[in-house]
Amino acid sequence: MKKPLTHPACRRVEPSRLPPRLRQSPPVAAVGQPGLTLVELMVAVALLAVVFLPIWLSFTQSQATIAEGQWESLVINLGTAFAGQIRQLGPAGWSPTAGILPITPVPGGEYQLAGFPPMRKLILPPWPAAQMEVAYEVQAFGPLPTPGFLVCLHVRWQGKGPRRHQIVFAELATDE
Amino acid sequence: MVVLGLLTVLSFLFLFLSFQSRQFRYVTHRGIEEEEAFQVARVAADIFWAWLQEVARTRRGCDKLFPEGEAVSPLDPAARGRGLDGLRLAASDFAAAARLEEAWQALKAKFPGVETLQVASTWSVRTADPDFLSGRIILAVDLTARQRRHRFEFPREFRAVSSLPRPFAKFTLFVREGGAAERFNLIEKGFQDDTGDTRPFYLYNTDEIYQASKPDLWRTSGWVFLGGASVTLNLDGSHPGRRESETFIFWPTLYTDDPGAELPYACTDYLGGSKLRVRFTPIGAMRDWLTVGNLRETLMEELPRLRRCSVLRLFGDRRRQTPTRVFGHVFAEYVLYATLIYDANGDSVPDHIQVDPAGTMHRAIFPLPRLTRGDDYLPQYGLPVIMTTRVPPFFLFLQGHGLPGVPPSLADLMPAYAAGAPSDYLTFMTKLASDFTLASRLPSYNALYDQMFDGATTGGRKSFPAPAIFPEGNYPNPGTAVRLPEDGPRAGELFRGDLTVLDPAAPYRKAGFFASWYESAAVFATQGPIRIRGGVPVIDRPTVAMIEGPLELPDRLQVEAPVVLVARQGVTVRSVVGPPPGIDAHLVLVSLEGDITIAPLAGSPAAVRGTALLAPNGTVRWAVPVDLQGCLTVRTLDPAILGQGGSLTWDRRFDLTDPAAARRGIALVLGPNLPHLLRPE
Repeated sequence: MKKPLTHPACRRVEPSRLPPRLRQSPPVAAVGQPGLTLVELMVAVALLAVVFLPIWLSFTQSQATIAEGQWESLVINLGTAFAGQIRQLGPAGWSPTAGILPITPVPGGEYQLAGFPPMRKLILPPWPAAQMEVAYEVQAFGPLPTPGFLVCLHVRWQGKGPRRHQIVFAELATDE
Repeated sequence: MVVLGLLTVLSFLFLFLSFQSRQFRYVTHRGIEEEEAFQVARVAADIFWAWLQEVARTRRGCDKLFPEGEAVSPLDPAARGRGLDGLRLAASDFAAAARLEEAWQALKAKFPGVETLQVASTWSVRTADPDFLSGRIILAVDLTARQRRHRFEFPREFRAVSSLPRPFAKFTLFVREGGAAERFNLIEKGFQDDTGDTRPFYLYNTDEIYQASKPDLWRTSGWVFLGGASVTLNLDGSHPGRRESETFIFWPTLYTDDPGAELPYACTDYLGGSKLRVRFTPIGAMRDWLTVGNLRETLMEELPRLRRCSVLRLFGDRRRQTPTRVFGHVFAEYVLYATLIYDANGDSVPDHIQVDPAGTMHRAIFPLPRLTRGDDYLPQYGLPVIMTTRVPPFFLFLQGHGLPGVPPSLADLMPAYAAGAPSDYLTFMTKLASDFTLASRLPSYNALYDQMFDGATTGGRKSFPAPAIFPEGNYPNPGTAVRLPEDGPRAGELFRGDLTVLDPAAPYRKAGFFASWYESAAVFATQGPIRIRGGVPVIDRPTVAMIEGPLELPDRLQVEAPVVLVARQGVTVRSVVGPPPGIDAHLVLVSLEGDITIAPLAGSPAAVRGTALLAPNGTVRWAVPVDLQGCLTVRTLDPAILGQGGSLTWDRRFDLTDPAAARRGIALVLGPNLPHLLRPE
């Protein structure tokens, strides 16, 4: 059963049930007001539209901002986890990969990746595979005093708008 | 109207909010772009740090930090930060500038959005102590990516110390406190013994081959200080062909392995008009002085202190002669064995003469005994006499008067002696080094340095005493006013002071000296700088660390950079192998309170190479013959430990007086490479 939209305390009271003093008073709208003209109505609608358009814009922009912020948070999480672990590994045990290799998310987030030092698993936070691609690359980096490797994490996601939706995290695995 | 006004205001408000939200998203996007720029900047910084670390490890490849030639490095604490505070160091200042640029280009290739990339560091000094410098390096990375300019500043602490302990690194052996004067004289052996009951411990003070024509060898050698107390070292008196003989000190260019070879000697001219000469043969301490009758009688008294020679050999051995300058009240003891010889043909070789009616021929050698009592001076003893057990005594003036050139009496050779005064006999008789006055310089160990170079510049003629090479005050040099010169063009002074009061531990009591601290040896083992590479424990970056408690180092430790390890209590070393060829590195190992024990594992070499061992309040111990290469500073030295044998070779890389060596001794330690940044607004 549909509930009444008004509070019971605010129910309309029949004029006949009003006190005599109030019963004799004419209705307010009736005093010298013939009603809204068409022009006034159109202006009012236009004003309402002008008011609601920024509200709508503000809402959609905020939604997009939130979405971007969420992506950024996830991306920075991935990048921080990646960089911190690569710095700990040092230069030993690496081998170059043949180009960029994808990483498929797995439960638990532990990855034994090709090119990484043996028995050194990379731990990454989960990411939505349907909307985000994560890949990596290990490259021998020659111009260093001791052998080193440039390890890159490529992240690409499905964002809205024309702006960039990919980033590369690079870390140098070296003696330094 | 009021309502309409409110609506209008609201519309503007929401419009503003809309713009703000767009701006937020823009900032979010910019954050992503900045993150990527930061990634590039951080890798670029790591490349810079890697090359700076390499410069610190090798101490070359950057003239601004480690200038080639004889210039002083601004990292030298003695410079007190001059030239370092405010220093700007860019890639172009590295010898490997091209490789740095190559690395950055390779990095840019991975990030096509990056248009320009510039890296430069600025150094500032916070503390400038005579023993260390500390401060901060700000590494600024400027890059332009997608037409936006970014600047990231990576700060990193640094510390620079002179790892070579001053002035102790200049000394092969530095002993703070002496003991009994004769404490080192422990080895008992005979004239023809290769070795005795105890083994000698050799000091090799230079890697240069001895040349008689280079009397300033001491300048480039390691020195020796044996404390403020008097020390007497008996020379080894075995035959010059025997392994441990120290006859080489007097005859450094003669070499023989023939145990029957004639002992080298020096001769006077003919005495008066006779055919007699006095022959002097310096011989060190040996058992025979007391056990062989005629030798004992030559000394005319029991001299038990000549029975044993020193376990400590300051000038190397006969195959590797390394004379040097000695500090402290250090004296040498040996016998200057004197004989009168009959040499009718003038070849300085004693002739054979008939010594009995049966026609027995014997060399005409007449010992001149050492007379120390007034009664002995009386000529009625009929001296000299042939002192040999193979023939009856042969009295020169009683029985040899038939020989041409032999005067009828001793009075013709030594008139004062014949008259009852000892003066001329004393001049010629057998003597001990300690019989001479200090003014003669002869008792001082430094006089042996003169002996080794005697005759090199005077037409090959030996003289006695040899001309002094060191200035006055070096015979002996008590070590109370020592000056350590800098042999560079600056001709500066590295040290001036009193060795007897010098405390080697002083720099290590300064907390600011250390770049890292470890609360125990266990923590050092797990978190310290030692890395296992190919099964070998290696320290391959500059390290200045304090370890609380005792420290035990792994076997076959290898260092590839200047490393200073200071343990609060004792240090146990298994073995330290030298750096690989082409790598200039050294280890300074300090036990602040305890001893240093060298205890090699079975099957490992008993070698500690490229290492300065300092036990300022202890000593060094070992149980098997050791091969030490570096330098050694101790409070006390136990002769019984030395008697286990071995050698200590001074490492020329420890020569502070050489500006190049001093520069290579600087340990530049970079602080942790934390990826934090200062972002200028």
